[in-house]
Amino acid sequence: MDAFQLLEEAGNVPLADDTTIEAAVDLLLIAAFQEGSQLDLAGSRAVAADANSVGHPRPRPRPIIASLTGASDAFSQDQAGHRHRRALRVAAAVVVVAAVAVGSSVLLPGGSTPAAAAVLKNLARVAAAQPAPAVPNPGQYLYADSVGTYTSSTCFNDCSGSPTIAVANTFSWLVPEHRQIWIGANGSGRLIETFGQPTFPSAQNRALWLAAGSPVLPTSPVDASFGPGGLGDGPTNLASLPTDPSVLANEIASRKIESGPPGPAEDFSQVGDLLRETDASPALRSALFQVAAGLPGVEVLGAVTDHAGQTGVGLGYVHDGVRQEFIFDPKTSSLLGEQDTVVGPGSSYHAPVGTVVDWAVYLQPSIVNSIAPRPSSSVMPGLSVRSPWSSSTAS
Amino acid sequence: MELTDNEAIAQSLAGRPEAFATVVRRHGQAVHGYLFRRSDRQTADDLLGEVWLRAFRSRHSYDQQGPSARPWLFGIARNTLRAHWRLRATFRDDLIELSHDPWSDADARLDAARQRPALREALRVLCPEDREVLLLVAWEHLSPAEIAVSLGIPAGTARWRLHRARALFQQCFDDETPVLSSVPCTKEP
Repeated sequence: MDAFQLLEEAGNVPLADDTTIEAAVDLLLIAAFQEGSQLDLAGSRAVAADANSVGHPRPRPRPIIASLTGASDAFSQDQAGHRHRRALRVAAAVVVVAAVAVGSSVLLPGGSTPAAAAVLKNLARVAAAQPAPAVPNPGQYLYADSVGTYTSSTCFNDCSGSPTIAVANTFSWLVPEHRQIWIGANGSGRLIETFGQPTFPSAQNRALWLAAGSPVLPTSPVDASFGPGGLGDGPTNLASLPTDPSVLANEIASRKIESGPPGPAEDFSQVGDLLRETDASPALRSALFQVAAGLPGVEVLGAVTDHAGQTGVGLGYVHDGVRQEFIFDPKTSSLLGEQDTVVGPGSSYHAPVGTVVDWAVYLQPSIVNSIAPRPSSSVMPGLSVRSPWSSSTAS
Repeated sequence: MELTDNEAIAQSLAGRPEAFATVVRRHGQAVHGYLFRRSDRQTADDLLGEVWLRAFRSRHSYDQQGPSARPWLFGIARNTLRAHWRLRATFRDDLIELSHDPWSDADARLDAARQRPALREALRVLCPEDREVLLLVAWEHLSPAEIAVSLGIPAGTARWRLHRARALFQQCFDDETPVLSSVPCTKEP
């Protein structure tokens, strides 16, 4: 009998899961980023004039364009809370927000949990090794500057009826935005926002807008000042959060976002909220990445480049046909940018798969001594709202 | 067009470190299979990332001796497996003696896969160096020239060892004579 042939057969083993291979690719890409001098992510980012730059400003309150007739109370609804990008921003009336949010809650979990967990655990290690960020002293402000585009949606007819009808009578438009925010130690501060020309994410949205009588879409600039507490508890309020990953995971799971997605999608959103422009401690940021690593359905998007040309590792979570995508700098773990992309049926945006419904890129924040207007540290990029992130490693 | 291994590694050294991902995608399954055949799925899953990080960090010493980086990668996988074995041996006194030879993991896998005892016995008898040469052909389908690259030995030595290993392996298999200890690796003529 041919022993060699038997030996060959004895070498037949099942193939590795794709996710195992992809996890290896992602680890490699992270190592490549960490090594690559040419990919000096921090160096390629616009840096504010102030030298006292810090890692992360606090979560930014999101202006909601409250109605078609005016944006007067734009902030009052949102100022206490953090910015939740995945909370549907259908804001013509509160009742509509509720109606659309309960529309179709089909959770579409993504696949690459082991790969995502590997990437997130590595980010957790990187985060824990970062120096503590500077926080503003009394009289100082955390200043953050960002650009992006967000989607606003309005229901114009039969909005309090069935969710299906409300969605059918809702159109969305995209508004380029440039945002500067000053957040004081006591939660006081200032917000300046300017907006670009609105566009529609699809022809259907434009048709619905015409059906609504072509209302004027508000794009008036915003310049608002806030007293103590107006922008939350101040940048240090994150200090009260637990840094034990399992305790933090429970804490996050028990919190609810008003009109936000349920379950792990909500948890993923909250992790993003707490990582986005905050001065969270290295320990807390590390714990947040570990919490995300434990969420089922988180996907790795590979190495991606955001709208400002910043390259990092992308992570996403699909809910209701829309994938919330974050891009992190693998060298520092900081959040470089994010976007929401239509990836399947179930979204309320009347837009085809691949449509980027909103995005933002975050520029290096800093500590400043006054809320005096300052020149933007960035040039507003081309704001090409239809182009998804380029993916250099699309598989 | 896809980069060749040599191009990808060259680019990864010339300011595009992420080009190395091409090599990972191309050979990920092969490296995983190498680990799996010599241990078990869990160990292979666990060690795969480490093999690639080691390969990435030592790519400066990659010597283009052929069109494929696979023989070089198997060499790194072998070292990773050995390091894993040594680490494990430090927690198990009875393994220290064998710490240079990760064979017992592979033997356990063959046992679990209900492979013939005669096959396992014949493999066990081979000295570790000869066994690895034989397995690189039977399991990883390397040529003698690639084996030479993988083990860092002259091609002539690889051929000679392969010849000896195949003959001894077949002989032990046919005899089915119980052999209590493995045959020491003799020096090359």
